[in-house]
Amino acid sequence: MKRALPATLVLALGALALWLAAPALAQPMATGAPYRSVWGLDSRQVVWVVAQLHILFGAFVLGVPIFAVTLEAVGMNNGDPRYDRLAHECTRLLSAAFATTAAFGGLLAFVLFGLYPGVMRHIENGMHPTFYIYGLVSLVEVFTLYFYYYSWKRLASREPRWPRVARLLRYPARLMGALFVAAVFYLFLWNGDVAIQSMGVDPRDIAAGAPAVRPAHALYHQFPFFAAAFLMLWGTYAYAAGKKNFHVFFGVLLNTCGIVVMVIANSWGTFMMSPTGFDAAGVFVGDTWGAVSTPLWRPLNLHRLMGNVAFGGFIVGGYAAVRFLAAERKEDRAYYDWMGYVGNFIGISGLLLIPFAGYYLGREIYSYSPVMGNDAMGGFLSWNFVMQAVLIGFLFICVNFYLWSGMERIEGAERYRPFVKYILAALALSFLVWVIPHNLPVRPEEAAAMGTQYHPVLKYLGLMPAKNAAVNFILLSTYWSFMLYRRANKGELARFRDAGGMRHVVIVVFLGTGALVALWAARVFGLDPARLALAASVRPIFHFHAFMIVSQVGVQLAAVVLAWRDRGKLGQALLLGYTAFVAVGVFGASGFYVLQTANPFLRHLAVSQVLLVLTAMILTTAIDLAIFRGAAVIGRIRWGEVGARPQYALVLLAVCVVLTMGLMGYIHSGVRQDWHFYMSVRDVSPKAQNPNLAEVGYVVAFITVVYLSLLSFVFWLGTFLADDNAALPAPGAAPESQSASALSAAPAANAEEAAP
Amino acid sequence: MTRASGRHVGGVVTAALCLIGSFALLGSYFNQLSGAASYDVTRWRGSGHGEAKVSAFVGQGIFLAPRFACAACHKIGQEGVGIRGPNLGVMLPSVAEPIAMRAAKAQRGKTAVQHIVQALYEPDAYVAAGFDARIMPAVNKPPLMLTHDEIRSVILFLFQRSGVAPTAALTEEILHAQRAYMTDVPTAVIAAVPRPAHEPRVRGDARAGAEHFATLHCDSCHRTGGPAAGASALGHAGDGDQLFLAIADHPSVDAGAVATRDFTVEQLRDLAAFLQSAAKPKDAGAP
Repeated sequence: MKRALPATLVLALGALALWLAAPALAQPMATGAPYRSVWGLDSRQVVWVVAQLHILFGAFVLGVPIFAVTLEAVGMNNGDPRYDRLAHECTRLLSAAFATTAAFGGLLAFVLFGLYPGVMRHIENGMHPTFYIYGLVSLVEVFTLYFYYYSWKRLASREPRWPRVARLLRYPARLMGALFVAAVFYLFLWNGDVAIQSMGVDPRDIAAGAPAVRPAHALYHQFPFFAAAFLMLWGTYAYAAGKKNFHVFFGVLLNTCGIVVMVIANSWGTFMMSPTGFDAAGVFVGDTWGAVSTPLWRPLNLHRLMGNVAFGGFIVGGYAAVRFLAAERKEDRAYYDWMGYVGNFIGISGLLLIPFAGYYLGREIYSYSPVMGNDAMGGFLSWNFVMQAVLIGFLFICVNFYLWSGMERIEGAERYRPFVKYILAALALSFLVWVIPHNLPVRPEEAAAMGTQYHPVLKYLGLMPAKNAAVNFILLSTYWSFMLYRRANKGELARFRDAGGMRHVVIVVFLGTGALVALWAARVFGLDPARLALAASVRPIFHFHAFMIVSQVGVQLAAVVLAWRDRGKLGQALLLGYTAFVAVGVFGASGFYVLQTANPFLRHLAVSQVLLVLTAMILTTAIDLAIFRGAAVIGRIRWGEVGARPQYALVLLAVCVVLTMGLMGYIHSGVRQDWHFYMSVRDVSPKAQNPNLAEVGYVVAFITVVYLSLLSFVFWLGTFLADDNAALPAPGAAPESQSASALSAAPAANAEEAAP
Repeated sequence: MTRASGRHVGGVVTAALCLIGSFALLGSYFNQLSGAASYDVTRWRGSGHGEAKVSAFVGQGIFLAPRFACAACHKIGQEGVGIRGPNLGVMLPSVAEPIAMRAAKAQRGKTAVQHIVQALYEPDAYVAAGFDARIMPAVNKPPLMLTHDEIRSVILFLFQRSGVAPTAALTEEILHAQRAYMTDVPTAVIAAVPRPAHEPRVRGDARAGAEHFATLHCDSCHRTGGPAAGASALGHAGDGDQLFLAIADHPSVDAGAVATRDFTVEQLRDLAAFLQSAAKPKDAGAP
């Protein structure tokens, strides 16, 4: 009876809405016009709301399978049943949300074809072959999802079918898998050489009206065969290795389909943002590949992929938090507490990488059209980015708060609590810099008092060097929080020589990160000022920065040597501290000088900051995994024994990430302003204008409320699928080897006894 | 569901709604702060060639409008934030002259007007040292799509900010220079564009400058070639462009002093040529 109440309420609200809309339903509709409206509603807002809801559901159903199959694989390898249960629960949510995503996709297609038939005619002309591929792959995805979900129990056995075949194919399959991932990254997520060759020209030439037809590079033609060979090889290996492996293979297949669907849908959006193939009269004369392979397609693919993972992680975290708060059994609280932690961990992992992907996308936007870049970051959309900065800052503060308050459940964490205030100060400082706009709105008398429109000091905080320094400091601070959390209940370290294979992993990671940084430093050192249209006299600036960059390689080496000599913590502190000093302090300050004297070099400086921070985090993590492997455990993680506050933080994270996605969705479209297809086909509809900030705020808030309501409803329905009487797996079986995994801080399973 | 868990569910819903509501209010608040009305891109559009009023004031509006975001790349002196394009004013020590003066000597054989017109219509034809090519868009093409009248207004504004009066003669000179780029305008309309009263010159005319020196009453305070009672001497054997700038920046501190910002660019150029020629025999010191 209680469960029927929400459904009754929804039906009642639907009936009320229909009754209110009845007069509008009777209105005659225009036919044959390039623009139409329906029931007196604003067509632009109708498309906006429906498209954003579809994208939000799409992000969930594309992001969750990525970590669901990862969790399943982790559970398969370490034998902890909780990972398998978590992966299954995520997939259950997925299957319930999938139909809603498809329904919104259909509705979006209907409203687009119905309300903007002229626009859709252009997309049809250029891209109709992609519609069929999209539909077919979606169909395969649906059936793969069904199979993946419903065969969970049937394919649970880990007993190998053909042990010899499995042993024979294990390493070839893994190697090919690694190559497959690298190929996907290079061909579809990176505007590298091959991608540029496939476009045939510099992206900026495309903006300037480049040749319309550009055949794809030969590698793209060969990729489907390579992908098919990989799937066959992996499938054979998985089948031979046992039912569970075969089940994981279907999870990989599901993700492959999901990514294909995502990149096709992205291509429709980027065709509008950075179109190719239009003649001067706005008639499409190009080819389909050219329409797909636009300059912003790959950067957006990368940005969305990471965004989807983070989005899915935070939504799962929010779901777990609500289930935790509503749980009545101690075991349920322990499980959902752990689930929330894992969701948050996945969210953080994505969140730490998204700024880099976002920077890459922004850089490509500037390369494609400086006007579009200016409109976004320095023009009429700049206040939207201030709103986004507030949300991002809130996200990071919530993430950190969750980690800090989550330490309550960890015995031994009190040793690290004094650090929290410093991290909070760093976050608050960076957040303030992050949100301060360059052009503060001031009254005339205030401007007169200052003597200028800009504040004499604060104006500098609005410039890119300050923003870059702030965001890198936020990332490092959050990473530090996470490091503290990981070691909260760890005591004396084991000897590094006892770390086994992790020692070699540290060396390999160092060789990779060191080489990457050294290569970049060499490139900066050898940069020809003339290539940046700068005078030769600025060369010392390049040399100075190259020296600072390469010096971090020395510190990386020192960190590894210290770890080798059982001073790993000192090595980590040295590496992170030096990276913060260089990337935030030195480059943050020198950025202002570069801004004035060698502006085109500023892009290289930003990449340098990103590279240093990223490599430092990667190497520090590798060292962390090695030095804490086998470390003494001085306290338990009492899963489920935590207050409500961290759970509220998780819920707010989920809400905030929806708001952020909604706002960014607007910015992606809004940056085109009065162009359906940027610089090619004008929007001449009566409302060819961008909404003001208030309208953006209200519409995004409305979308968020609708999305979260629908998602809650879908999740609630999903609970019907769960076997309420199923016994929860006895938590606590976490094997020791887990402490080496990135998730190792989580699995102190037994609420009472087990130690991680 | 227990009472405690029910309370938490209520708390979760309340917290979520508070956050969403705060976001909506933030948008509204920022809207008030930024003064951004619903952003209408047609706001600055004339309804056709010749219908929009051409003036430095309109040019200023276009220059500062978020829609066109000129100021996002170009500072004018200390004003603005843009650094991706050249500073259009004076910012010592790196930028000693405003754009109209720099434009006058940027390309051999082109007047300041011709150079600036080319910079707006064909920005990559000449890229200032230290700046990237392909950054500045052709302002008459997508996505900016300024009309020729709007472009003329912007140029008038730039001259005004360089200390040159946006006179009718200057407007005519700009219009004349624009003709080469009016490919979208009927030939008959272009043919009807009047020639400037005086053919634009790259170099000043010293003889005309001598006449201006007298008719503009410069000689009431200054004399050439040596000190004069109650006033400074004029003339410098150095760069004529420095003289040009010095005259354009003439301070109007004394009652009755002539405001050189009302001079045309031709007058300034002629005066500079006259003073330069007058100072050649001997260096009479700084003005």
